Amino acid sequence: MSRIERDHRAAPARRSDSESPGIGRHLGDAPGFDDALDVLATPAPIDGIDGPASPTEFPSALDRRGGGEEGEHLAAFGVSRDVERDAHVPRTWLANAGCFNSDDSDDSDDPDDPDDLAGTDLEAFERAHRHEPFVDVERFVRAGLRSRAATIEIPGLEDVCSWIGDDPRKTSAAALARGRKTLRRVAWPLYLVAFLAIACALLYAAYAVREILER
Amino acid sequence: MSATPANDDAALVLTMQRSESPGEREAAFHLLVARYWRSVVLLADSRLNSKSDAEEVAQEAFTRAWRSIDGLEQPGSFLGWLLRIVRNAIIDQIRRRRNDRAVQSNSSSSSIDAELASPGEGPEAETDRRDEIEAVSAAMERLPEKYQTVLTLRYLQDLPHEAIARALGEPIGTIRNRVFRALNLLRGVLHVERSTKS
Repeated sequence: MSRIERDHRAAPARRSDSESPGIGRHLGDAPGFDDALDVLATPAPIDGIDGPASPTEFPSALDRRGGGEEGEHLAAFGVSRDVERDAHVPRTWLANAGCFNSDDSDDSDDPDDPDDLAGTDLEAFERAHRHEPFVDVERFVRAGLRSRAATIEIPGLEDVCSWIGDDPRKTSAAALARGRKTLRRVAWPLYLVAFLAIACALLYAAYAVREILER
Repeated sequence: MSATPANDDAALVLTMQRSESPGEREAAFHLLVARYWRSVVLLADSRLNSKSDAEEVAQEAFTRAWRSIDGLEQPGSFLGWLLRIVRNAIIDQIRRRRNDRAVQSNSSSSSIDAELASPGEGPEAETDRRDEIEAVSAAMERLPEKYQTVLTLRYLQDLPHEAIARALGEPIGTIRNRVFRALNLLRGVLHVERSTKS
């Protein structure tokens, strides 16, 4: 089972239902859940991370922000899905949505305390917002591309020189291209000179014919 | 003003066009090759499913670029110009292949990128990461070419949207949209695959 699958199937894997029902376990039924969603509509900065513009924008806001440089920290959200392992998880969202763990040791609801957020049901949180799992494709695309790119060896200067050196047209083609460019630059005066030359030749020919006829 | 990739490209292209010293021209060309080689090979590989063919196409494309660089009138648009050459080289390769009918299998062995590796995670988690990366990579290869191109430029070359827009000669909004749609398509493909599996 892949990591994402495992995460999706067992989001609060750390504690069982019997051990820790936690408010996040029954997020949709939690008292004040709807109010919490309303709270989400207001950006609540914490550690430099803003909340989504509106609850319904939860994943799409990630998408949009994740598309730009400014969204790197948000894009990290879907990967770990574990507040204890990933400091990038926007804890504000969890806290605002009432995703506190009710079974933590000190029974407090502190968004800065990882223990207070541990065991919350991110899957339910996502379902409530979009009814589909959030996959941080962006990060995997980046990692996948870099991982594949790492297997590709960049040719050295000698290799590159050997390609273009092997090319019999190397010198002549470059010279030809330069010649064409120069020709384009000087073409119109050449055309003008050629036109004048032809005109002069015709005039001279006409003059010569006339001279012959007059004799 | 900080140098953007396009500015760098332009400077290198101008060096190639104007320098009288063959050594300087070759060094500038090599810098361009080093900058875009991997992206070009990956793009070709995703179309040809053969790393060796992809490298051959990349070599061909860069050689063509070398031959025609003097004709490039806008040095800042080198990347877009190169990508057009690459596309043509890929098409030529596909035509050749049709004649040969010799399709090689893709033998890309992905290594786990250090970016995703978290300390303290066991081999199982690492294997899962590898699976996810490979799933995303495989899904990416099934995307239309225009999506693959923007994803490669965005996430491998790390080009900002503006630079991609400049390189491809498209409005920046189109590029943002294309990246967004590409990611959504990938997400959809992965979602369907996961649902099918389970």
